[in-house]
Amino acid sequence: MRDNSLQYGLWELPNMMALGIRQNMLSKKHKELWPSAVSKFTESIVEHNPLSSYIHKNMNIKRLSNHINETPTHSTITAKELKDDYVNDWHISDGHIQRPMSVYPGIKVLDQYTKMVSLKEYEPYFEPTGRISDFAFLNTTNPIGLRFGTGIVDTSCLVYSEEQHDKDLSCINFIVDVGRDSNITLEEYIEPKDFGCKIIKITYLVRQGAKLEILRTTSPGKESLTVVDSKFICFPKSDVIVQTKGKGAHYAQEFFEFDIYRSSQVCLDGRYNIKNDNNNHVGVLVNHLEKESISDIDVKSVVDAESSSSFIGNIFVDKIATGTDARLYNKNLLLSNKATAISEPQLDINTKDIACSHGCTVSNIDPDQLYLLQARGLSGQLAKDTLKECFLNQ
Amino acid sequence: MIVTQEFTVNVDNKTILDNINIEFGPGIHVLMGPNGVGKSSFANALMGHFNYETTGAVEFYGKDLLALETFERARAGLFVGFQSPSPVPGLSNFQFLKQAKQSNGIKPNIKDDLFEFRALSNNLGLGSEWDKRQLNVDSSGGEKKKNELIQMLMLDPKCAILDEPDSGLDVDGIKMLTEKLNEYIESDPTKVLIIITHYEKLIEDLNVSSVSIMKNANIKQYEGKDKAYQIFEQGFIDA
Repeated sequence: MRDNSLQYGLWELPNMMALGIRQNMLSKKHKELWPSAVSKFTESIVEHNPLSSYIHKNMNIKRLSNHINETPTHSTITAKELKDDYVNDWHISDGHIQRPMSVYPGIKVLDQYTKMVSLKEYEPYFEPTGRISDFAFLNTTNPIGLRFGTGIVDTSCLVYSEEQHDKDLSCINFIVDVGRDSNITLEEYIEPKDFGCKIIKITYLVRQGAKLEILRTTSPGKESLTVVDSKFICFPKSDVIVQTKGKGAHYAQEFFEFDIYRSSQVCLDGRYNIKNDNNNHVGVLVNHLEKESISDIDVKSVVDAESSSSFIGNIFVDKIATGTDARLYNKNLLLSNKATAISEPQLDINTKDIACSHGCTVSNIDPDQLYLLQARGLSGQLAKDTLKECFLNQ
Repeated sequence: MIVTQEFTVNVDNKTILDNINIEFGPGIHVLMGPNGVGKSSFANALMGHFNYETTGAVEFYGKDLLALETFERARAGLFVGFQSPSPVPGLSNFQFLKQAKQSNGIKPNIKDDLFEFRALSNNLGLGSEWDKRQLNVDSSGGEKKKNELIQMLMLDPKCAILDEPDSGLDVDGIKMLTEKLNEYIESDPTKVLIIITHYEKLIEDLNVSSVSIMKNANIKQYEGKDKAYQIFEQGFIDA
């Protein structure tokens, strides 16, 4: 305790939950789920046991577990400056969602105050995964979300930001339910806590025949630790496109899991430009669960200075998922001798009559390309920056 | 004006050029020599390629060329048209040229530049979408040569060294190349154009000031283009 504030590490959360200091309504309601989540978390985060959760094994989890959170006091709370377009966006923070000035009638807010739409039907999707994001379930004040009705065409901007600056842990458990035959574009801005830790778990339900396009930007924070875990349930004949870009952070982790059902398709383009001593860790699990689905995963990182990047990806093809067409690629461009990139693409195929490919590369800038650009007058730095952009934009 | 004094080029402890003293004044010069003798290395060494160690001195329009970085040599007005330029996926031909022009201190005018680029590429038979094509990606040898020529014409350097600009070009391409090279050299009486070539027709159609023969790590320069015709008749053995 300091100035009436409580300082705590992530490893202390299980005890805090046991004492009732941090809890949410779902954790009380589904008590049987949480011991498993807590034990998996304890093994991977607290005891640094990579075998307990292979997806975390290349991630610099110590940065996360060594971080000290601090509950705010009146003297430490400062309000964030509001941007001009604040009123046009959805603002999502721990347990709270703020509407924009005008909302398309077919969009419903999911929270504990809105009785018209029940959160209860989404509870089956909240099972623990053994990933860090389980703590978003366990520690958020309340789960929240948006439901887009049937046949809606809409573009919305979602800003995941906190209204105050503080060093306390923020957890968000968010649901996006895209109704049948809808066509939804979400521009997502993930704003970190400058000196704090933020764990976001987003569950996307993309109903039959719907199309969801996500354009996500994760801002870097000076000392921030940001974990974003996105789980997609792709109902039959649905279409999901995700474009995400980020610059890493003191600790940044972005995780994607796609459950793909019959005749659905998923496309993920990840572009990361990591500088200084930032970390960036990406995990992708693609589960082809039914026939004739398509996935195309393409994650690229530029890793500079003393930064580090890791990628772990797995394509799972169920024994009934014939006609699957899957690609999983990770490419890394190292710009410095002190930068590190680890890449592990994997396939887990359980049937025939499918087309799957995977691969990874870790390379340096091609000296011949660099020479060509310099021979036309581009300075060394501009030539490098140009080649970096080319790599990411390809 | 480019003048070398005791210019020596080494690569992997092998001497490619040894104590070369040569002067290329304004006008068109041809550089010839047997395959693998080091003609491309000469061009790349002057441009500052990372593989080559150089000693001696090279004066370039009054500047100490060897003291400059590669990009500074380009900005000083030296251009090398490469024999096989590297592909750069993700970078369009026009984007590259735009950046090169800006880097060379040429005020950008996207509309005019694009118009000029498209006019040149159409003129050279490269098609209307050439500006959007990725630099040297999936391009034929001839297309690469034409693209190098466009870069040269639009950057308008003081001195250009073209490494076999005729290779891969068809009859119409050669005709166009000759025309453009003549236009380039006639636009400014101080310009220097050094062409590495084995192609008789090209030499015939250009107003060549000198022919230089590179052999045994040495270069000998001859006035006019008679030496080239002698080479075409007798080969390099007695050159």
